[in-house]
Amino acid sequence: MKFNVTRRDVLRFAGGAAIGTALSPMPWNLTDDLAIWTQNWSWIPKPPKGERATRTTVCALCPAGCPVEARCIGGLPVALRAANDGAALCPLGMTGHHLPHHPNRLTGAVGITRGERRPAAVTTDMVVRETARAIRSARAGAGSVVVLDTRPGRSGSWAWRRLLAGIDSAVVAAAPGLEGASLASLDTMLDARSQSFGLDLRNARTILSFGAPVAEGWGQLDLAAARESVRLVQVEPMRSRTAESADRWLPARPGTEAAVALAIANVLLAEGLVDTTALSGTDEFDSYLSVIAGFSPDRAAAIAGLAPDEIFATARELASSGPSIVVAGEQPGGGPLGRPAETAIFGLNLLLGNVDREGGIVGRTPLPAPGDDAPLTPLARLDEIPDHSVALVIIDASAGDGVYPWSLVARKLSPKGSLVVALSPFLSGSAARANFAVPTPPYLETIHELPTSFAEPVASIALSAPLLPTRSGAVDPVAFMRSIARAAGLDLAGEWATTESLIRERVARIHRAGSGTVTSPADGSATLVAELSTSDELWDALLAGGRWSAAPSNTMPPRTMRITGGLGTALGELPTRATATPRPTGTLTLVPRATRDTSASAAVSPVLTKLYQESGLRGSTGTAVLNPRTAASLGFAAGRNVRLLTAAGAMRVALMLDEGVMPGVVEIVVAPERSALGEKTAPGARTVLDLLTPGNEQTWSAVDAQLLEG
Amino acid sequence: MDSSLILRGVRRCSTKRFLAWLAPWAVMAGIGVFAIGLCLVKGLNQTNMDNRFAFGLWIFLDLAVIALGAGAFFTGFLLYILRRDELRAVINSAVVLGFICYSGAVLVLAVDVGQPLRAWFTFWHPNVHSMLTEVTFCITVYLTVLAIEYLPIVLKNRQLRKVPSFLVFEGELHKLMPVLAAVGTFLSFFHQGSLGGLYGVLQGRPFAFRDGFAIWPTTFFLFILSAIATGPAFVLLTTSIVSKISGARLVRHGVYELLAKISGWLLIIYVGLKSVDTIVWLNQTAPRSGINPSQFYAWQPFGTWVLIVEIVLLGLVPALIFMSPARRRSLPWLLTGSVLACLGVALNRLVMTIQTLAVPTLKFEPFMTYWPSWQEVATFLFVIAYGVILYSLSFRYLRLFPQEREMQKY
Amino acid sequence: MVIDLDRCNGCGACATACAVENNVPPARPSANERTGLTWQRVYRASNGRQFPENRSVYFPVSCQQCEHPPCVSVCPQNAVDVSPETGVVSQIPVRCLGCRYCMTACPYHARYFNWFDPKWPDGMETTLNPDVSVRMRGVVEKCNFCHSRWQAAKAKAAAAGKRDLDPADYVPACVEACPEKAIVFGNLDDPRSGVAKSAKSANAFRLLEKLGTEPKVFYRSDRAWVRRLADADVAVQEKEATRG
Repeated sequence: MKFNVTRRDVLRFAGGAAIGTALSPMPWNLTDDLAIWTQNWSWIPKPPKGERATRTTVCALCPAGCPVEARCIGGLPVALRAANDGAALCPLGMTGHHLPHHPNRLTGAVGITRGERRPAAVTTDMVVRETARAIRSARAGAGSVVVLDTRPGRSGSWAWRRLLAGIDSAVVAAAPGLEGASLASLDTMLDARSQSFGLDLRNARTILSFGAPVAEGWGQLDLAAARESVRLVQVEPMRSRTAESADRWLPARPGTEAAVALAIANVLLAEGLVDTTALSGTDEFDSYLSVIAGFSPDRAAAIAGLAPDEIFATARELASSGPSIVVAGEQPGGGPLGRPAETAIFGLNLLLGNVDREGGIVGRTPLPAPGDDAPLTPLARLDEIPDHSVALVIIDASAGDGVYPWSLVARKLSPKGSLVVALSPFLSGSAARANFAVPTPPYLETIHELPTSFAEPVASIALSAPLLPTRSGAVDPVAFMRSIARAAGLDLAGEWATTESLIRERVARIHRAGSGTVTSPADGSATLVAELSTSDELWDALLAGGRWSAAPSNTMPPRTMRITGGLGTALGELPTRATATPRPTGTLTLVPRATRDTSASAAVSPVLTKLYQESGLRGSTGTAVLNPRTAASLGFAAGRNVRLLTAAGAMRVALMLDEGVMPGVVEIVVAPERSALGEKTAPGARTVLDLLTPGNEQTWSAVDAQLLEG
Repeated sequence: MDSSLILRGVRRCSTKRFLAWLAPWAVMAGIGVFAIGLCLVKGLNQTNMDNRFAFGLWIFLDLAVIALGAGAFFTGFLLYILRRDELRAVINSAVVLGFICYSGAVLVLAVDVGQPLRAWFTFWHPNVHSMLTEVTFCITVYLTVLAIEYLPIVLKNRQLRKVPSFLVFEGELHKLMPVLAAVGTFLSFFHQGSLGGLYGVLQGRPFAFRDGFAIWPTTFFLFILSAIATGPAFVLLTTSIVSKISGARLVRHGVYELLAKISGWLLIIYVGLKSVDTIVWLNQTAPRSGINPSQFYAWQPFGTWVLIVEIVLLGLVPALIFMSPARRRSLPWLLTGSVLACLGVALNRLVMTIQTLAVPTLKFEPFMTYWPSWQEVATFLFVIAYGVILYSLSFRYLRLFPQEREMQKY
Repeated sequence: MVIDLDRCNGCGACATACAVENNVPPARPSANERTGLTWQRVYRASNGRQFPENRSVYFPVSCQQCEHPPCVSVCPQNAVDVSPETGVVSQIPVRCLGCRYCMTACPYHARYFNWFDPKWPDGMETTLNPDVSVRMRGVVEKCNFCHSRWQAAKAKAAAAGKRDLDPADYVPACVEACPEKAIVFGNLDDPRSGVAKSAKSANAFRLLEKLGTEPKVFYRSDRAWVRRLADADVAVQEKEATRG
């Protein structure tokens, strides 16, 4: 038989094959596979798989220390929420589990040279050697040693004071821009040597707040919950969240807070609304009266741009709807109001008899020190340290960070040579400005301590238990101190070698004292410490998310109260900006604007781009916001890029218009920098904060500025 | 060099000149290919479209070229169904134009969607309620029809004719033409309308939303009408431009006049209906949606001038030009009218695409504007370059204008 | 869902919780307000008055879960669906081809397109919610009232041998995260539920009610000027927001 293949056969075969293939599942499976492929690209991240569990810890991202319930998959946290019923976490807190994976996390010690795009990897030993050398030369007279503590009150804070006790020129200072810094003025007024003070906001019926973000959780007040019982009067130039939710908002011009406070005092005194018995033990009253006399409500109202009636009404309200409390706050990103203003504001409490009273300013015993009673390095305020005098600055940002203009630190550095070493989990914030940065374990990778927050009426402590293993390369701050002690020949007694063992010592001392209670986060049940047989039981209760609180102390040591805080008649000296009229044409007041939640951390979850970058809710950092009328008078339109000029330099900023901004004021958004949100940028780049030159009072809540074309 | 391919009896420029003419277009197309590649590989973040301007330059381009490409089906309809034999002079050119417009639109659509590999899902899981399903089906089928209509023109090339079976095939296809024209007409009426319906059904966008008849909003009919009104004008315009560039007389003036006359009558009907529609929309439809219609035109650059330019300058004016027998006799007038009419339909599509999205719906949302990225513009220009190149090749090697040979005798 | 605008203070906790719950990736450096993914977005609006009378209101806007959703009928390939059981409008990202027609149809700008490949910093994938799959570039996504939580609640009820889920078990992430308790969630069809009562109260309203979309997200405010912001009769702001 012979095969004769014709062209027709070939065509038939081809046609048949085509039809056959079309009828077979093959082409349809192929298209299906194609579709599945588009759904399963290898570069699409896959969520984790594993066993589900719930664990409890305490948020360490701000001093408030909210109890946290973590949903874990295979032991790793995938979601965080408030552990106590009815509470909720802030955006920073609920994304805290992202921070160990932050792109700008430090994986090893680095040396940072200004202007270089990338930091250079160094060894921790080298940083220790350099630090020890700086300590030795400081002892030899090259300058002083300053530790900037970004979360004072911790066991680690105590360890720094213990470490540097042998160096005469050393001080430990709170980093600038921290919450509660204004209470230092109160300490000066109330002569706090044996006692610190808390604010009993929860029991107050009227709160007069000068700029404190009370509605954003400042002072651990849950304003939403207390809304029915608390009346809030807010004095603030910005229409902040707190100003909006206040019962009365006094939009005083930036820098005129002291004038408003003194005018309220004027009314209280003139109308006999003061607590005379409480005032009997008050010093410096004569100079106070002479200052007050200069601030009639009419004059203060003119300075602050308010109606005199509002000052009268506020004063009467304070006196009639007690207990009332008057607080000076730190505007998030804007720092403190300065000592004179803070003294004038807290002075109102003395007039109203709010000291040592429920719902007012209450004394509290400090937390026990974790170690021996050896002498400690003195505490100081950064502004008390002379400029150009510091040879070594150690910034302990291992537990948080402050938002402040770097020039505050830079001006202290000795021109003859200085070293700045930072301890931080992230290469952003303060650490990005240092010469060396040493990586410390972030939140959730090690135990973090949440000591008494500034506003608490009683001493307390909570522990943030780690949920993740510490990544290799991270250095424990206390272990770092031990290395420095060895290298620099400093005496550091005690058994403790790590932060954890030091905190254990503190907890053991609390247990030994036997007072106070531990509150469990889940059901709010309280256990008396006296009922716990070992300190390990207390430790375990704390690691499970509990908070230890001291018993309220009812015995107040007798004290002298200085109503001008030692300032005398200088109390009435207002910033020239506030009083000089008219001001040079085109001069605006630059006011930083930030939200409280993210201003305590050098790094935030990249997911917070939802608030800062992907929606207009918070505005990206460096956006300048103007009243449309101000903009029109200067000839600017929205969306334009303009140059913002201050005494510290110029920067290009985007312009936004908002009728809610005070005329003559530029609000500048101070939000997490792009590096804090996870973008890889050159460390130590200039930020908007660098435009805010602190004035003579070390404040940067308002500075003069100009807007220029281009 | 390529003279053996060129039609007998017509004059074409030298190969060198032809290549020189093609070169810049080829460069433009090359840049476009690069831009398209970027969009496909890196994703649509290469464009300046965003969540608010989910449609941008490309959708405008699709709508505009499909409207202009309507000349293909409408000429076929007039020729094969209504038996206006004069139009045989331009039918081939109209088919090529239609093919270019539709294939260009489909190509850009493929870049425009986020997952081009899933484009066939529309056939697999069709939602029969969606205007876009209708558009997808009709355009796909109609593009096939256009390809089949294009084929005999290609097969008539001097060299290809030499293959006997091609000639037979071409002859068979030719017999099919009236059927294809009828199919094309049906499909085109539907998808031109559906493209309009695409916007008219947007209940959530008061700027685009229109009342209608049965399931079709008025934009459905207005889009058909505006497309068939400008289709002939576009054929007229391209023919005269080709004639100018090639230096050859391609059709008798009577053909131009006929095209203009058809365009003119349709345009005047369109302008009338569009005016009625606009009045109803501004006074009835939009206020019922809770929108003060003045807001539509509250933001520059979209002032009321847009409406006036669209209806009067680019609608009524060309209609009046085309309807005047005296003006029709003058080629410059015809060109002016055609340009205005084509710009008119383009502006209408631009307004429907861009202004619809620019006007805020939520009161606390701002008015926004949009400007395309270079990748979008390059892709847009790619379609134009592709069209010019394909048309140039077709014109050089294929018989687009049957009257050209005899016209040269004069 | 009923959102009390007099309680909302614009903290953004809902938007953050939503992104964490639904594995919405962080922004790429080049992303902005208009190319981001914010299933729950908080808009600030004001009464338009001059300082110091100017007051703000914050509108948390997610998918409004319309009864007559304009996005469903436009999708060419049935990638948008309304659940007959819950009335929630769902998006099927694996079927979506990314034509974005639904986005032009939605008057609430509640739909978002994945302009970029989803990407988390190295290691952060371990923090993703295991119950929600990550969407790919080139598709549209939006709020689905935390569908995975509904499924979990359903499963829990089934395991307990019950037909109906316990309302306490099904709470979307935004509702849970709100520190001001401004968002109330529940079954609108159940006249005894708090949400149904709240939705019928005098000062409750919906956005763009006249469009006839019948949203299932209600807002409420005792301030008349806030309620007036629900309708788009007069434009209040202009932002020069040209890109490119």
